[in-house]
Amino acid sequence: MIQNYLNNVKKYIPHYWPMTTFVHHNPFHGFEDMPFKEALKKASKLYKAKVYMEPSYYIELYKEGAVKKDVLEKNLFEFLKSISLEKYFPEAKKFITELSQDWKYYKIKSPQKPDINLIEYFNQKIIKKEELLFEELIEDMLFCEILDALFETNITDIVEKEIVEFVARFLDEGQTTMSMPEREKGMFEAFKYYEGLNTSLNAEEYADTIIHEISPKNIEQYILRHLIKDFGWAAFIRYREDNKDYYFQQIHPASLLDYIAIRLHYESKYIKDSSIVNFNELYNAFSKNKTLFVLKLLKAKNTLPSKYIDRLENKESLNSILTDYLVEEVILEACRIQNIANELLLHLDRQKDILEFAYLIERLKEEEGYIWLKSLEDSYIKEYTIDFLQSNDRIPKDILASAVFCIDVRSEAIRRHIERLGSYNTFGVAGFFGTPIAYVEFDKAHELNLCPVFIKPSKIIFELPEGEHYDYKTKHNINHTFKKILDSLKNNPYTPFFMVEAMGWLFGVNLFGKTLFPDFTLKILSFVKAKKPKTVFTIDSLTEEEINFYAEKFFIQKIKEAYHLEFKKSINDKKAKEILESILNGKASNIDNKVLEILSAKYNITKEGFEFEKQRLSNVGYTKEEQVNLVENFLRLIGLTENIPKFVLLIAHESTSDNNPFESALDCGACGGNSGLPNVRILANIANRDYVRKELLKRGISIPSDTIFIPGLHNTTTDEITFYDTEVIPKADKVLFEKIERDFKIASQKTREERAKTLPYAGSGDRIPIRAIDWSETRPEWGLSRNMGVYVGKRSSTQNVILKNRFFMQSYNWEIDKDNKILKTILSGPFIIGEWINMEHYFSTTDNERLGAGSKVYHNVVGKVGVWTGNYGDLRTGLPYQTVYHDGMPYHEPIRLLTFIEAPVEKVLEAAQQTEEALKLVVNEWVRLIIIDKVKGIAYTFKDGNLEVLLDSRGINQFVI
Amino acid sequence: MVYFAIVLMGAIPYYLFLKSPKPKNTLMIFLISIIGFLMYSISPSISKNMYYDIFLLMAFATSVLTFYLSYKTTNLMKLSYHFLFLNTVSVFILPYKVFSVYYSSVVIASALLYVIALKYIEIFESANFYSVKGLALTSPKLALMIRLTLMALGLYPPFSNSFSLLLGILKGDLNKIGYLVIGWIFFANFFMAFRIMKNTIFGAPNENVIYKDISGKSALAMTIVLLMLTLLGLSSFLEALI
Repeated sequence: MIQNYLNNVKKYIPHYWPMTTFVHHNPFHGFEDMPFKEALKKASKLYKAKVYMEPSYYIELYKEGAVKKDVLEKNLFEFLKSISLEKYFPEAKKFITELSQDWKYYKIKSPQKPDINLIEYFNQKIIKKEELLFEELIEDMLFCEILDALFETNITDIVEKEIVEFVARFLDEGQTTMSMPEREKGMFEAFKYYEGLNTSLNAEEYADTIIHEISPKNIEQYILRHLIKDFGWAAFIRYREDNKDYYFQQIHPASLLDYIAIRLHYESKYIKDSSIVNFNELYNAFSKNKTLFVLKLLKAKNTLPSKYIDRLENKESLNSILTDYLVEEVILEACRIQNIANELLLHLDRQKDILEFAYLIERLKEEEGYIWLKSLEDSYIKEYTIDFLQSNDRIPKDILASAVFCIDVRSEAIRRHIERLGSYNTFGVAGFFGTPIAYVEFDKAHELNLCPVFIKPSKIIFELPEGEHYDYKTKHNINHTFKKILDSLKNNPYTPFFMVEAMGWLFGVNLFGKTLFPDFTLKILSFVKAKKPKTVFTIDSLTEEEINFYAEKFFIQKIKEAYHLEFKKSINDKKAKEILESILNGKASNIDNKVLEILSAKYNITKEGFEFEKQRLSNVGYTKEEQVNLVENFLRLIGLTENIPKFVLLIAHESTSDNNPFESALDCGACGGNSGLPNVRILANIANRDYVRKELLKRGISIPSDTIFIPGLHNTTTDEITFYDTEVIPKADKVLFEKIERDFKIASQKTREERAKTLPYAGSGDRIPIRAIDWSETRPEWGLSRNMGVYVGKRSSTQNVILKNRFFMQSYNWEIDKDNKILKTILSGPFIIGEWINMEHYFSTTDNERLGAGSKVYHNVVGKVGVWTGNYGDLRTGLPYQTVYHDGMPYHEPIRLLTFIEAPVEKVLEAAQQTEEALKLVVNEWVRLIIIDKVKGIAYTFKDGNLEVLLDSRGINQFVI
Repeated sequence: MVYFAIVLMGAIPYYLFLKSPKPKNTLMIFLISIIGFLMYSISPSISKNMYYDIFLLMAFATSVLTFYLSYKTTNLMKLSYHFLFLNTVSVFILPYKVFSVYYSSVVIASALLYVIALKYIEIFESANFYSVKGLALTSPKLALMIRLTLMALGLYPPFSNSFSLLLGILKGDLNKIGYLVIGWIFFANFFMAFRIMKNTIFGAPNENVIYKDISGKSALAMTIVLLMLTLLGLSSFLEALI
């Protein structure tokens, strides 16, 4: 039964990806079915989080001119009209642009007595029966929290500590050396062992029993309250539960149901000693101590002013305390309205007027966040729409190289600087370059999905060394052995005592070196570090024989290892092959059945296992047809189907920072928080193949025979660009390519200088590379902070617009997208990623403590899956304070993603209607869509789910916003 | 007379009679304590007679009771004189000279806390700190003054409260009971001070409270007093070294 309740509410918990592959996400993803404004109202109440900035923030932007006067006035007027109070427009404007920021300070006794009608108005709102007050106060509380409030205990702290301790240990992915036993049996089974619970009940039955013991009025809401209490952990468990392929979920399965059962267990365990153990008893006790309970709850919620707490301490009459408090609240609320009316020089004599005014102020206070937000967005939309609509197509000439970058906002500056050097044009595409792969890096065992998280890659690519790599092997082995010794010394219960004295100085070298001479120390360390040899990829698919060969080889090795582990004896290849054959053919052999059983049960050495491996191997690499499709789709996606220059540079990106658990958040979001280098190396390799080009020619894309695709990597922290696999460049073209490299170095330098102006303490830009290796640097780069919009269209439309590194730029040429396939791809890929990134930044800024990750300074890595603040607590989802704030002021400007799509309106509507997820975001206003229809010369937008003309440049030139 | 002086200093918790947390009553408690201290200074010798143990026990019991009651309150006004009653028992343990410095330091630091409590009343309409959280972020000057005052009361160096007690341990002739009392004083003062610090200085500010900071002049005046305590402390420290 509890599972049903859980299914109804779990959508309100977001997914949290482990931090090694940090994925920007909307913490309120589960609310996206609702209109933005409505959803935020609900989410804010549930999560007790701020979802808009403080009025003072917007007022500052208004004064600076970022929020345009006419836009604000229009939005305000529309709101007033919707509540039929437009006659108060001047007062409402003064209120939200001047008075509202001091809202708290108007709640003081006014010089003149507040209007009696006003007092009556608030009397009805505030003075309530104790039963009603009690219900309202406990509405969002757990039972243990209620007990803490009533009896001044700290049960909740103990319960939380216990829960977190177990959950963190269970979900650990290798940080601790002593693994929790029984984890392979699943979270709840391991918990039973951990707690010594002697019960045969499963998680659902157990949770059902306890919830009925506690007996909340609304079980569904109570479960949600529990989930939200530590929503970081709940979000991570939800991610694991929904990703059955996740390695750690496979070996240590966990579910939200298990989590709820554990939470309820601890709550029940620690409330047992209390005089009230369930809601029924609570209501009984309340009926005997109504006033005391209400006062205690008000105190615990920090709503009871200090002077009443004193009176409580002095054991004054409870009724008089509560009555005095409520009466004072009524008077102060009335005074607030009176004070505001006085400030606005309003003379509201009649009863109707004063009540109307009170209603107006209340509604304005409720809506002002949204009015400001919309006005800020509309101001930007107005500014950019004119620029985008009026820009002209530019046909580039004498292009030496086309550089393709990720759509990331950090590519904008470097693209601009490259273009300004002449001979270059640039394109933008989601950083996996249309090449979704499951990638197995050289010397690593696990797969990395290098594509957006909602795509399941069908292809597996292995990175293999090109030749001998003796040097790497030697250094790697030495380092590995050293690390192993160090780890075992560090984690042994006894050795750390002498290890500190004996080897502590070694760490001192690293500590002082990295702190005082970071660049020099890094150079020294790079000598010690094993350098990866030159590698190639398994780009071509395997033949049937090859698949058989590798599958067999893999299983023979597996059998040999199994023998070694289970029976402590070695067998040769021939014997292992014999065993394998007998398993595959099901033939009777001289092998003991018990052995076969062990091989099957423990090592999955079965016929099915073999077939599964063959299936996996058939996913390795691309067939020729797939290779041609890959390049064709990519070129069409960015609109580069003609005039292809001599060099096409495919530039992925990654970041560099030290001592930064959030490093992955600075890498490519479209590659699942990883570097996109393998994707571009693979794509370039395929695009350079003759048969691919011949086939593409048949499909109407002519790539000149001397055109070369070169992969590169843009380091977004240092803005350096490094090219790879350059040996494919013919000797005759080397000089040209050297010029490109020189030009790109100039562009990098200029980009660094530009970025240095916005990065705190970066000086002239020369210090930027040092920030990348400085382990005390909390802000190596701004990452995607200040992202504002996305432009889907031709570069010529954005080239002469100042975008200030705030736009994702997706190249798109609607003219070649006859069937809307490309636009649909963009809407279901980059568009969604953009919204996730944007919303992550939005909410991390509006409430960094609750929806962000708080300050990095206090973070500690937990279980290699995330960070928490201090030494225990919730898993901190969202972005750290240093990513979105600087010196107490927000650096990121929280607005919804402004999505400009350059295409005829009919095309966009058709494509949007066929991409459900994108349409939902547009209609529910989680993103603001602006269609730049250059054919008609009109810009369109959506308002309340309906399309309307935003700007008509054919003479009328009138804005609807 | 010496025992009467000790009683006035706080061997009997006369907040039982001056119960209300009104500033006037608190001031009265301070005055009575100071009078007691001055009377004790006239004739500071406590001979070990039959009353000695009774009064020692009484003062210790007062200290424990005060500690318990201080745990139950979140009113700074009350807590300011609680520190006096908590520390009176030290008169039986410390040599007269050391006690004079120590008790004076306690009185001065407690008086500072009393002044801070007055500021609370001025700003928040009450000296109760339960709902006044996150002062460090909202009223930095006031937060700093409370922090330093509580550091002095909580026996953190370099204030004379801690160093004079240290001097007492080094120069005094302590027996088992003496060490027990000193241990108690260290624990109780630290615990009381830390509890206030944790609850009102740190954490997120309460959105229902209107915060204001104290003026620069008030902060300067308090700083001078704290500086005096520091200098006094350093002199005790130097004396302890010799």
